[in-house]
Amino acid sequence: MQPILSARHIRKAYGAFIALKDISFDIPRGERHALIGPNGAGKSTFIACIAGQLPGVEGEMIFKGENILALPPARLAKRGIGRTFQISRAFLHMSVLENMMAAYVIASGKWASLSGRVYAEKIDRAHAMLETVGLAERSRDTVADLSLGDRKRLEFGMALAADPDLLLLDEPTAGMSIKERHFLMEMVAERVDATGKTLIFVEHDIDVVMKIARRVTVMVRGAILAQGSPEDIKANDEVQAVYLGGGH
Amino acid sequence: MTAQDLKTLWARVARATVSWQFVVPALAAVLAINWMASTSTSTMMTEIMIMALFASSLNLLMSFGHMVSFGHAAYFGLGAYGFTLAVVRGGVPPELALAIGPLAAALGGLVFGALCVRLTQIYFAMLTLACAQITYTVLFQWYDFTGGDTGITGFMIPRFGLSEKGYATAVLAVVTLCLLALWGIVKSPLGLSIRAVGQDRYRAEALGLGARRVQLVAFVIAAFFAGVAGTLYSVLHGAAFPDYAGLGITLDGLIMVVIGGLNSFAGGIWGGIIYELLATFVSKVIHEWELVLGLILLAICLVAPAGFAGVSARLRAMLGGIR
Amino acid sequence: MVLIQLVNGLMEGMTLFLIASGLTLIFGVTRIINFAHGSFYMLGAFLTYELVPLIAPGTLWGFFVAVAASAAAVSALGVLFETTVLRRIYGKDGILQLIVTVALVLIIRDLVRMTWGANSVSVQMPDALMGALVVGDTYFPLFPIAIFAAGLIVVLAMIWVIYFTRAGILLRAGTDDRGMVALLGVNEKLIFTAVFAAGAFLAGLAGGLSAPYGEVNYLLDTTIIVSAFIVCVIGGLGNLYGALAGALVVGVTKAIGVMYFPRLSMVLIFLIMAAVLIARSMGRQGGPAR
Repeated sequence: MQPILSARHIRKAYGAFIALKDISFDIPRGERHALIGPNGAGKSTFIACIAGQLPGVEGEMIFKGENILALPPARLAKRGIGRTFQISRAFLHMSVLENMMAAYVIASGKWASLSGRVYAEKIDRAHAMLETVGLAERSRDTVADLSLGDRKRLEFGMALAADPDLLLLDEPTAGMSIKERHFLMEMVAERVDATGKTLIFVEHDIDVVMKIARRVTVMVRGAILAQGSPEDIKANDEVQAVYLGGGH
Repeated sequence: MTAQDLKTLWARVARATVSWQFVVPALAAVLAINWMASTSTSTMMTEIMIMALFASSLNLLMSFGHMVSFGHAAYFGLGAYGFTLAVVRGGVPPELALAIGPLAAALGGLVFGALCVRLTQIYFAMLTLACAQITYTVLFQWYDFTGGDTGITGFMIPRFGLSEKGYATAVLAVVTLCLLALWGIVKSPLGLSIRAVGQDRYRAEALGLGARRVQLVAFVIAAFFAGVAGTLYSVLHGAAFPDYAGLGITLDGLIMVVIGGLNSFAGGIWGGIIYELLATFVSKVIHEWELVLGLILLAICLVAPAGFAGVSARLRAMLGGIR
Repeated sequence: MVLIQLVNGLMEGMTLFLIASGLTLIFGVTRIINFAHGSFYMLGAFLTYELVPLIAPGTLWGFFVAVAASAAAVSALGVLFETTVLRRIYGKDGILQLIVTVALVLIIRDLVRMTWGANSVSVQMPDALMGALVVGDTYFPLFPIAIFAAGLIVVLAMIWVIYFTRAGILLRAGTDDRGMVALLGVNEKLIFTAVFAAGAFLAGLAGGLSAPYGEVNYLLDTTIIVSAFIVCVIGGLGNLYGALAGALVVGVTKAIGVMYFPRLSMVLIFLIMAAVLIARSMGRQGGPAR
């Protein structure tokens, strides 16, 4: 079966600095794929490439049979790509409930509607999602008042609102406690599997990677150092040398 | 929280409910004052209401869309001139021309907005300024068509021949309707989208919202209502002058929104009222009323950045009321 | 005729550059758009008007001393404003920062009106500069040339400070990366105040220098601030070289525009700014990586 995402010779340079040097690999549908590597390896840059945020990227990025490299983020979202940001972004001065509803309203395409009908249509789904990510009790709270972990969960729930086929998570557990980390990622994994979606996540915590990922790509200085199952990667000497099995 | 609780919560947050218990007495009070007071008071009240609408249109952009426009007066001016030129050059009967003013403003908002929303923050603001100044200069210089720096006067009986009181009542009705419409927009999915883009453009885009398109819609709506204000103003005085599109009015609008309260719906309304009242009364007492205004602004920015709306919200919370 | 206009344009361009450089420096370091910059210019002009008759009137050195003193006074006012007001607003909403400077505009304008009235005043030109430079059969007014030269000296001094002194290095670092500067243990507050003081000085200086050549009245602030914005935007906010380029473009356009398209010269400048902004918007796509 055709992979959901195929990167072909992706190259991105910032002037003289080459952030991504000829990245090529495939991600089959339904895979949980981890992207790991030391800081500055280009992982976030690669995610940003997929997400349509960077200009001047060379190569091809085939998503569901289409080259999406030139498309802006909003169009990609419509085509089935959802993402969370490294530094969690939600609508800071709106309540949790408003955030979730916003995600559903946007996903429905009826953002320009003046009638409250789309609200009635989506409120149940918003509620269900808030329950899934464990934030139903905090619907009233403003995002600015939420802890980091809660914000990440909210962001994740919002990213799922549009039912994306490919979910990009950029360091989803950064800054969280170990317990929170596992809770979040288990929820993510469960959600992804239940709905047959594909997941690419950037992660520094090796335990999380071992537990959640089915395949791992190791990036170093803009290039792919190794690729394989978590066990293979862990046993790989080169990876050990460069990355020392580190986490935070 | 159960699904039902959530629905109730959402209804409270999202439905465009109007607190009629406050609005109706307020309207009644305005009508009463209008009826009892002198004609000059009626005219002052009319101007206040018009500026409250103008400030509210700018408030939509600033408080909800987080877009600072340095050129909002352009649409006030386009509203005034759209109406005036339709009558004077287009031979359209004034009653019909009333619709043309706001439409001209909206069209201006569409054209200028399409260019401006391609930029963000300070560059967006600068381009809105450029558009407004170009508009102003065209109105000022194109003597043959727009009457040039002397403007256009004497083309109709001011206020359609209504008395000052009568016109004030009419304006009250129009402005109230417009504000209710704005309220409905803010609470609708469109309003939610505008706010989302305003708070975090990249998050909104990643969810699938085209930020530019949303901002353009907000811009056109704001321009439209500014145009309504401009048309009403033009009818009030039976004239149109290039200054209607000038930087002075834009700055007035910005000041009104800040005084009234950034990040609130009523900010524009309060700001318009307070500013106009200050302008009228303070300038009678002190010749240098702008000095006073400047000091008040400093005080607000330093001490009460949420403006009047913020202060009144705090007062209400203190007095035990829940909003 | 064209040449004379060009000379005027050069002077105006230099004046604009002095103002715009202050504005762009302040923005580059503090991220504040100082609406009151035009007011500083205006104050510089009025203070010069007051001081010129008091300091060896008619002499060249008297004039320059008066101008420098006025600029210093304006700078002091800027420091006062920065430390009492701006400092409390730095982290807050950009709109508030803006309105605060607008408030200063209103205050200064009324104070000026109170002190000097609503009519224009004229500042006496130093005797030595009242004549003209004769080249062939064209008479070039001496004053604009002298002011251009004076401005040039200031610019050179600026370049020296910015590129060859520690203060200047800190300034440039501050424009690029404020956090880094703080890490280096430098007092950020001091840098902000110093930059604001310098910017205000430049604006006041420009006001004083050009005072004898045009009208000095309380409307000076609005006319000049818009032009200053345009210059900064054309050159890119925070970009000093850009301000130079922008000032030249605007100065020359105005001078030529006034001659050939008097009715359109102002629109022309706005159109140029709009074109620059639109061109800039074309080259952009995608957002930050985070």
